Amino acid sequence: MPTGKGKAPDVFRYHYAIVSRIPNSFKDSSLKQKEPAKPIDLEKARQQHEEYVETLRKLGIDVLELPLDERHPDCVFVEDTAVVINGTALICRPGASSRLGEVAVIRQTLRKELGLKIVEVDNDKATIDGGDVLWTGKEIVVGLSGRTNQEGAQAIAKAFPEYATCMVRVEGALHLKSLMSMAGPELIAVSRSPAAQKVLKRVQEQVTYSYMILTVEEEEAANMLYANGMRVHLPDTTIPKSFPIIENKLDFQNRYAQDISELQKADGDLTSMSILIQKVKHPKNFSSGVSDEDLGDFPVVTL
Amino acid sequence: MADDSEKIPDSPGKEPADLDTTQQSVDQEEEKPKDQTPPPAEPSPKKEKAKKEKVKKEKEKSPKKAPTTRSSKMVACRVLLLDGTDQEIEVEKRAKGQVLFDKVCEAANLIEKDYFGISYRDATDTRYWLALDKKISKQMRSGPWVFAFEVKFYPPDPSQLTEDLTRYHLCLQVRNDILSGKLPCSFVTHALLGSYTVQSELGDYDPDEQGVKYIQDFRFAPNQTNELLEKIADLHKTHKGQTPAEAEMHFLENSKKLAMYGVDLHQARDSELVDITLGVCASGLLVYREKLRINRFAWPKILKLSYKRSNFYVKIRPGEFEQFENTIGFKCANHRLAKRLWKTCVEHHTFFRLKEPEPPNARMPLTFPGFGSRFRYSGRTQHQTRQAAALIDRPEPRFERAASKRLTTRSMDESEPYNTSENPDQSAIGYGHPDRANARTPSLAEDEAGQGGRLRPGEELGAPGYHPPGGQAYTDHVELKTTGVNLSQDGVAYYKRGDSIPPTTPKAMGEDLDDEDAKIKYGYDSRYGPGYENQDTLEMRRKGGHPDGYHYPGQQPDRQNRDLIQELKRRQEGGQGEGDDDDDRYDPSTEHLEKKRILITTTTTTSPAHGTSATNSSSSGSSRSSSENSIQLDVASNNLVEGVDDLHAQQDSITTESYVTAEMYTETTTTTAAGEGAGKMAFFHGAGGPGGESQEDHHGYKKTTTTVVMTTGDDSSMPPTVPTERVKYDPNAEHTTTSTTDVPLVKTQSRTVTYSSSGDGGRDLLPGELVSSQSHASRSQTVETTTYKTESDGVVETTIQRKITITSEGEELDHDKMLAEAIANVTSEYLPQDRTVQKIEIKTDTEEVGAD
Repeated sequence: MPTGKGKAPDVFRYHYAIVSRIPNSFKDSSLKQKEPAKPIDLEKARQQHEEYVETLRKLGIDVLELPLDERHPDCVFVEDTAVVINGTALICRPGASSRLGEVAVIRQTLRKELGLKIVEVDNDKATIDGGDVLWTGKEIVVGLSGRTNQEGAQAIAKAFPEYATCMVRVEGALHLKSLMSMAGPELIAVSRSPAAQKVLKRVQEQVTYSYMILTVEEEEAANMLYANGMRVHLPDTTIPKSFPIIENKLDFQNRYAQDISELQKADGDLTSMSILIQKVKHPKNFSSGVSDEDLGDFPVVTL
Repeated sequence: MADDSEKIPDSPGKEPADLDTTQQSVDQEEEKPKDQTPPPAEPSPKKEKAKKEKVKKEKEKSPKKAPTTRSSKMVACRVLLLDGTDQEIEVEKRAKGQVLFDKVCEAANLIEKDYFGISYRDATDTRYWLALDKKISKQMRSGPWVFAFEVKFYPPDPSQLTEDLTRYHLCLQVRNDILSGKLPCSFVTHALLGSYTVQSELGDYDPDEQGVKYIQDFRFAPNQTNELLEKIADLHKTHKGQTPAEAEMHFLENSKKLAMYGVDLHQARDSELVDITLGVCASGLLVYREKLRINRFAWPKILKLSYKRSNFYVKIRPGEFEQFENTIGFKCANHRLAKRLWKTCVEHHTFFRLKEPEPPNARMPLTFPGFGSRFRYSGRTQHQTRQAAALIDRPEPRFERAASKRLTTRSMDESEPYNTSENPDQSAIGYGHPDRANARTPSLAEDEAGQGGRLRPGEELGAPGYHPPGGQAYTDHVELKTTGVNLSQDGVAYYKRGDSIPPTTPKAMGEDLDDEDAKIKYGYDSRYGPGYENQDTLEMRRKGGHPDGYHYPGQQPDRQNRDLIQELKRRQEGGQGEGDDDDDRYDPSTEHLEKKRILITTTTTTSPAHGTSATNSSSSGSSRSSSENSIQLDVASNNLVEGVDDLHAQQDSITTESYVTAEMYTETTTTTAAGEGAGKMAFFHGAGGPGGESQEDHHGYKKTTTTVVMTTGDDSSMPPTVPTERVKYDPNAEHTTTSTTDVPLVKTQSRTVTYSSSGDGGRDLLPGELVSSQSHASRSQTVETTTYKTESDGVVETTIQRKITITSEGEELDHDKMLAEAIANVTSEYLPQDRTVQKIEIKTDTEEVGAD
């Protein structure tokens, strides 16, 4: 009997990332849920962004840096502009109208530079911020936030029909991924905050597969970047309470603390500043972390 | 009491095996040998192959030509195989589905055949599975015998299949699913799967090939482009060295992870009439709105599945912090589709979740051994088929792979209906065909419209039964009202947009998998099981005194019914009514079928040693599109009788047009205790009722029995579509027959014969308090026992009503015998003590669907 079972591909194995440099307009014109106590220090923000890019490179990712675009103050948060899974890129329709123009350059890069299959949202009513799309490696959870609506969720489900796609309402946060993120395969990091726990409950009700939960203290600590077996998280200066938890629970070797405090002033988080792309030239399997155990048979029972 | 009984179904090992029927098990025994050894008449594979070729040639000339009957006994079946070819197989006209299935599997040389099935399509192109334990002729009412051989249960892990041949057929099925849009994929996945298909069929990439010409004839995706072919060719190069079997394995290893792999889709609507899609698969039941999955019920999370009319109900195991079970209702376009969905669920659950099908023994209610059956999956489960496959001892059979090319031509032209014009519920989510969905027959559309409103439980709440003057009460609504009541009491929540959804633990598939989890009830609550009934019966006997004032009613109704039955039989023979409950196809435009029900009701009244009391009881009805032969025996006695159940369920079973009575016990399970309120509400106070009331003075007891005939209409406040006439029978009177007037699509006849010991036409109706009620249902029969308590002047009197409904739809049932047994049963089992028969009522409804 032949067996088609090879080693399960690592769905969080990323080869490329797209990032965008910070325009001057970011300082004053970027969208913020609330005004920061201290204004954004643009220089510091740029410095942190450069460090962020360096960190990505340390993970073994080729980073494509897009030139800054003054017309789009939020262009640094490229995550919201496209969802890339399994060699398919869905070009988003960001929920903030000021950001609609950001997608053009992203689309072009994804198609021309990376040769991905581009899918467009075919519903004018749909809005999607990529920050609301949580790809767990096995399925997709879409947060219905102020930026993403149900039509958008449908568009995502349609673009990635290989995966079960469900949606959860998100309140009290900009994006679903502001509250939780993948901290590893089958591992979701989420904060203890009531808003996050509420959404987590909804997620648990909806998802198909089971996940472990890493509970952290500060809300922003729950947004980590997991790629190529390594995690990027915030430093202890930003998340003093959660840092020991992360230190304790996650393998020291495989993590990097990255300060992005200036970008956080404009609601930025670690995942929001890049689009991660897996590019396998000749795949043997489509990208899915679903394992045989997941599909597994039920233990059969006798009545 | 209800609390106790609620627990029973959950506790392992206690669930009565209520399910298969004697009848079915007999069938199984008949059929089983054939499983292993093909019937002697079977053509050899060689011959079959030759025939196949011949058919193919014939087909080229007239592809649409349906097989014709060659002799009076043999019928030619055309079976569309997974590789797109046709096979013509002759079977006896009276053969069961198993025969055809075995022949097809034999010709395909398949041993692991339990994953497959034979399907047929009705006029609306809806796919149904041929029941293997039933005669084909009963399932194919109209149209040519054209079938398709398909995968019915998609193995979650194809690598565990034993033979490559089986996997090859699964591959063919998955490819068909991809092409039909059932199994949607993105471009990237189409390319990957396509490349394995090419490797499997053409072998290694030939470097001499230029471009994509060599795969141009393949069909890989619904809308394939040259870009896709290029990508496939590109990937094909990388599969060098893979054998066909290996390539197929890779194909399946990817396919099995696709979200829609093996998901059988059914269109439905939620309580707000928003279109949703229900998907049945190996792991449970999925709910989609367009492409998004909005809910998911793994099998362990489901307590019970049931359907009633066009509604389908899922009872959810309460979550950690929930007190009540939730029942979620969905609405299908019509009754048949609801039943189809329910059957699909029952079959999938049994196949994937159980070690073996529910055993066919020991399940009928004590009172009616040997009657009827309720649908259950009776084939092998996945567990069993794997065990059997482990014993396969033959070298891997050789077979040719050449399907995709043929698929190319076929799926584009002549086999179009098979591959592409999927009916709405087969097609991919979000590709819904609203036009088709709406293209129902007028009656069904009406039905839909009528029932649409009923999905809102609130409307029914507290609404009193409607009793129009003139002797007819319309009960559909009683039942619905009770539903409403139960909905609230039971925590039934219809699925609503924006509703908070009962949590399905994400881990549900892996956790909670203790034995009890597997026990989903299929519209049948186990606490109504034999054990329970036994107890009740015993208790009843213990408490009973000596027969007192006992009128043996057997003779009269028996004779009456014989006439009825014979008449019915004549009529049945006249029509081409075929099929039975489970295979009933409701297609008014093309079909002509008859359904019969016999309803026997016994009411036993008990009162304490002194005084007067009154009871009321009994409701029966004929629904608009169903028919009944009913006998009601109302028996009064001095017994305190206990029964457990509830009235609603019973009423449901009578008043609905649901042919399988087993489906009714949906929302009521927690209500027995919850309330007398519910009981009272449910109880039909037919104060203005027709001549079915009697008052009787009996050995110093005053008993009053009221019988109300309820006729179902389609809307809770509308008169019935088909008038049912009721005739009261008393010992001195003759029964009469009444034919109803024609209605657009349904012809119904109903007749009621009532025997009343009092012979008194004028009865009083006093409100009764429901003590308990109990119900057993089998395929063709429902037995219901209801106990009421009435209090008048401080005296409590108990009335027991026992109602037996025998239903057949063109089925060959010995109504005579069943009726006689039913009456005997009612009278002997329930009347040994001092109980008196108050009333016997026999009601016959005959219906011809689509007669005109």
